[in-house]
Amino acid sequence: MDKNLAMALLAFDRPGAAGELPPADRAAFAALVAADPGLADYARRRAAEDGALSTAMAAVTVPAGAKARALNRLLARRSATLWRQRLTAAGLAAAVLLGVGLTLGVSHSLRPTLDSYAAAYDNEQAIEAPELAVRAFLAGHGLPPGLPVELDYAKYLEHGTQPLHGRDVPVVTFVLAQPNANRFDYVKVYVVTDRQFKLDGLAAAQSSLCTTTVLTDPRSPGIRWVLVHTSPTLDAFLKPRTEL
Amino acid sequence: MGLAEAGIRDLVEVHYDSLYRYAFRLSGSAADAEDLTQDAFGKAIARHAQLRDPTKARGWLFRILRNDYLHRVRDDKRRKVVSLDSVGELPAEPPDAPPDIDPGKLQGVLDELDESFRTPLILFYFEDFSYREIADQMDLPMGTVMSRLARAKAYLRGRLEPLKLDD
Repeated sequence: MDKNLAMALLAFDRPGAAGELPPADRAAFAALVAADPGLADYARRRAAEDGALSTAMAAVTVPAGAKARALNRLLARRSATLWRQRLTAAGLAAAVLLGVGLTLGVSHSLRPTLDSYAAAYDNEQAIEAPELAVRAFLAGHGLPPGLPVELDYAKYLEHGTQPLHGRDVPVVTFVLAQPNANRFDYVKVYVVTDRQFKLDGLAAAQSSLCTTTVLTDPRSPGIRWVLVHTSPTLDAFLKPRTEL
Repeated sequence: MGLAEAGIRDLVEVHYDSLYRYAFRLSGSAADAEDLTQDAFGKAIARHAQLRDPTKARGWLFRILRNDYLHRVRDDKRRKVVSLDSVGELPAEPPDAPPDIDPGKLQGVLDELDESFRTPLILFYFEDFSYREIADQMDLPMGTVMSRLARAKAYLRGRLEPLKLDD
């Protein structure tokens, strides 16, 4: 190893640089220092000077109690932060609970009281005057109160809303017993609007057991009456004609 | 704060003294050193999740402290420092006997140096950081660190020897 290079490598001859010189270079450097008394003396004096500087550099007295003061402040700050986090979490939880409570309270207060008498009365009205009840029901849904075909309310069963293609649709049901066939025939009259469905091209249809008849009324262009019936025709459900 | 109380106690117990001494050598003031050390621990604890390797806590703390120090002195233009442009990198002959260096005089000479020369010198002599670690702390190439160290050491020797002779 060249002596000038060895002089340069002296910079790495210190504890903190132990891993910074490849082992082969370190060995070559050590061998050169060992074989050259002048270089060895230089290295010794340099190391002694560095040692004295290191000692002087580290000769700083840490004030008594400084570490304890720092620790106390850090722990106090941590404690305050934890409390702040807990209070924030508790505040959020309280806000959520309050929100849920308010929602439940409002929801509860908005729920109607079930009136058992009214339920009995409404059904009684439907039994005693079914056509009036149906007219009132359809009018309440903003629909023409009358049906476009004269169905016999003596065969009326019920009215209400039923889901049809995902929409709740007003429906009136008529039933006719067929004792000889040991079954019932029925007609369901769905009253649909063009606000709920695309009605273009809506037409009569037939499956194995049911028939669909579509009725319109020029006075109500956005309305269709869709009659699903199990009988081949609607004749059996029509209001009987009064013979004069 | 992501560090448990025991972790904070350990961190302070292990590193407080060396961090304080570093802060003192950087700032030259006991009051500033205590503040800097306190703030460095506070920031380290708050950002503890960033320290992936606990064995590197020492270098991480020193780096936080230095950044804090630089932030504080950034706008302090009144501080007079000497230029090392005229100081060569090749050190003069080391003295025959180990010099008797007064720590107070040493601080006076350190205060004359710009931070970019003072920091590597302190880390080099004080905590046995490797050149690579000093370079990482200062975001500098290792060769630049070694060059600054050589010039700072030459200046230090030149300023301390006459003082010794005067004594």
